[in-house]
Amino acid sequence: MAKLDRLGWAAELSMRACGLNIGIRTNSEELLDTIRLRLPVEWRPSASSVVGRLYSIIGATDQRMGTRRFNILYANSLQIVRTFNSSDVLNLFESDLGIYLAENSSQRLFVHAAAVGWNNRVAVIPGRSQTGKSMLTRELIRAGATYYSDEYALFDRHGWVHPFHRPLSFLNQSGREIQLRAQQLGSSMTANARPISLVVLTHFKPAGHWKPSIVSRGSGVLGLLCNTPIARTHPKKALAILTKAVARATVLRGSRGEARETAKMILRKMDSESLISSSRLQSE
Amino acid sequence: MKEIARKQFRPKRVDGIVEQLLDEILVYDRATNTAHCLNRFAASVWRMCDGTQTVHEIEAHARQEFGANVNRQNLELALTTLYRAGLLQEDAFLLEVSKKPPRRQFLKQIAPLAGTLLIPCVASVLVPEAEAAASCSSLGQACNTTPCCATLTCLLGRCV
Repeated sequence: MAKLDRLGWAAELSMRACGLNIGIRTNSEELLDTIRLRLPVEWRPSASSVVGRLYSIIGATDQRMGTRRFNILYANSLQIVRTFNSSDVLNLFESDLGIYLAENSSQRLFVHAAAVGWNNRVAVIPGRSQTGKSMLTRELIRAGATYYSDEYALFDRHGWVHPFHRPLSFLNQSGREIQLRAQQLGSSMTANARPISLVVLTHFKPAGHWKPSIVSRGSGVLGLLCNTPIARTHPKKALAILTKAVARATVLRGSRGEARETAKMILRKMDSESLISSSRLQSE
Repeated sequence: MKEIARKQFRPKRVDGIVEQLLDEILVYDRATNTAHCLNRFAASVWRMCDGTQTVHEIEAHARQEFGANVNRQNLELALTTLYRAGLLQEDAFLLEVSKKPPRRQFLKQIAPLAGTLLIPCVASVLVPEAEAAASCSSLGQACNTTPCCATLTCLLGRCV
């Protein structure tokens, strides 16, 4: 660490996100500006010099004729990656920061799920990697939903969902990863915390059709719990928050076919759910 | 012999973290990292299995709560379901009862009489390690179920 500290750092940032202090230092101001765009929505600058995790990022600036320089990312004293590709460093920084926050945040419960807003309510789609969450999220946004997250849905202690903006990533036909920002799909980035109205337990099945069945809310909690990084280490907290979150939600389960068709049906379902809840409120 | 064992048997639930969600309860078993969702009937029987009440007493209490349709078969099915899910502690009587015909066959017998209210349902899931709940694993994390993040390689089950 001392060796790293001795390097010339041009820019530093101390920040607070999800109740955790994080430090970032880079060897150029421009690189720090680029990194700022990749930070979680709720981050705030912090005056604290004590941080739980310190990222040191060396960008390949000062390229000379015939030489190539590495981009290097450290988390505390651990070198995470050394590569010629600068976007790999940024992507890995974003991933590592997400995992660190998910495993250590005391203020938010992270669930590996996509989330979109519609009619002041949120639909949450938990699922393992490569089950088609990003594709479905893309189609939901194209159909007019507000983007909350594609990687982690963030729950507060009341069970409301907060935004966690990350680029949507897909594999193209040649198997290469491509990334899209939600703004490119036309989503606004000003999403507020909202309660859940729908939990969708689904995965892509080629040539399948979306014919979900309504299952119990308890099944919805199990579906979310299976995708909660701290479920094993803090099960009491995770169960308490997820139970509150799902208390008024409808839970749908079933495999799906094409994302576009499924997205439209999910939004239609959310429309009918909001009608039911508004009539319930009137009668109360 | 079996009847004597049944009369004396006092089922005892395993310890777990419990959350109530309307009619259902959710139980997390730290020993096995398994989460269970119990419907109303299963939850009620499970709560009564405190190690002090005999099966007869549980049956009587269940009859008070769910009506006269509760019988020995319902209760044995509930105990078997809970035992198979790992929600009751080991016991010779439960081992014996759980060797009975499969649940589906049992349900065919009791469902027409009891209705769905008295069918015990337990859904269980094994909660995975933290790494499984992410799109990609970072340096040093396991990559058995989740791929490694960009530029990292999966070597001997870890991202390097």
